[in-house]
Amino acid sequence: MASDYYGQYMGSFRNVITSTLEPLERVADLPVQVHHWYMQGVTDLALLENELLQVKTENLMLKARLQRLDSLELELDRLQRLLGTTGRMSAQSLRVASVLYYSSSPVSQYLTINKGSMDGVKTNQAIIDAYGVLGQVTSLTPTSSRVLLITDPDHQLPVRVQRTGQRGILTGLGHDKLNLDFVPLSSRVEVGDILVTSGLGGVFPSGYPAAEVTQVIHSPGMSYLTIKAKPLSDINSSYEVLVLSNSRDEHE
Amino acid sequence: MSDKYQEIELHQVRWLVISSYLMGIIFNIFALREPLLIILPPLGLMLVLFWSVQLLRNTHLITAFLIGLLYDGLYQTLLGSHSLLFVLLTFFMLRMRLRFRSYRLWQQGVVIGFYMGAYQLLHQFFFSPTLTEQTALLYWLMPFFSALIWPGLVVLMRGLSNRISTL
Repeated sequence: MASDYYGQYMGSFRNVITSTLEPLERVADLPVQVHHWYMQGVTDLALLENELLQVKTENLMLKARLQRLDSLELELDRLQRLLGTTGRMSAQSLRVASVLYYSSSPVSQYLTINKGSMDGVKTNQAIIDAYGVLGQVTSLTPTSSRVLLITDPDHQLPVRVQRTGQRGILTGLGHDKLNLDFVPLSSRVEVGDILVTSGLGGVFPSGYPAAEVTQVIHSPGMSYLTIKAKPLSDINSSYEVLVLSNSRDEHE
Repeated sequence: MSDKYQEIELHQVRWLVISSYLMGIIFNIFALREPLLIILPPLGLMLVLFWSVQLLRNTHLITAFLIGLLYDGLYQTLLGSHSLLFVLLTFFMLRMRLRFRSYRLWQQGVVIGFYMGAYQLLHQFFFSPTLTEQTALLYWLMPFFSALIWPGLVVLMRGLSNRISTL
């Protein structure tokens, strides 16, 4: 217990336990799979066509935005060269994974995704979905990995407020709630502010949206603001997620 | 009710014991998805308690430790913390298992309810789970629920083990 608490010495042992549990998780998932399979069978064709049309439109819009983003990225790169700072943008590569399983117990909140150490996933890699940061990989099996969600009570994420640049630590509270800690009383945080990863700590790359502020409480006598936030990512219904990895890691 | 207990050796029902543990863990994995299923007790622990009463030649402490480790992996908790809880409760059960065998099924259920109450208190102390109003009620109802399902679990497992041991 002490070696697990004070360090990462038991990481590989935890991986062994997760690997042992993996077949059991797959068996436990069977009833849900059967339900999905049945529901798929009875889904209306018109509904599917409608969904396809929506997805195609969304894809077109995203492609248009991506074109603009590409040119912006080039411009940023040029400006960073002019300023003499080292640009670290676009050093990430993405890998698509699907969610096999999830836990929403009050003790732990995690996802199991279908990419593991055999697919090149490593511990501490960040996981995002279409809307924001989901969590980070904590343990691996050869064919799957476990992702600790940002709403897990044990998870903390260094973020900054997008509008002001104010730094803080985003702590999970379980049940899709988050707290933004260590924001001084003098800072101007408002409801609706978007919190993006700050890149400090070195686990999460900077600039990914993580949460939205829902409540700011000024409590007299406290040195910090009490700020509540909700995750931007679709924590409960994401099916496809992206594994972010640094290109540097891949060359190692 | 004590006459219902047949003397069964571990080697006669080894596969039943192993598969019952696996099934217990699978049920608990399934319950992870749904916050309202927090009322489901740790079936692995209940089965360790059942087998420690049923199979008197073994202490089951190592089994309790290993099952606890699996639960640690499952709940992503500190390795060894569930094991410690499981071993502790199994130890208490070992101290009174002969007396426990002589109880009626509903009395056994009440005792198990107390055990699970102690487990839940320690669980709260160890892991301080984040509970909403709704889940907090279900969380603390877990001992009552385990007291209710214990007779069913005993009848099922005893029936299976008696049938398998006479094969």
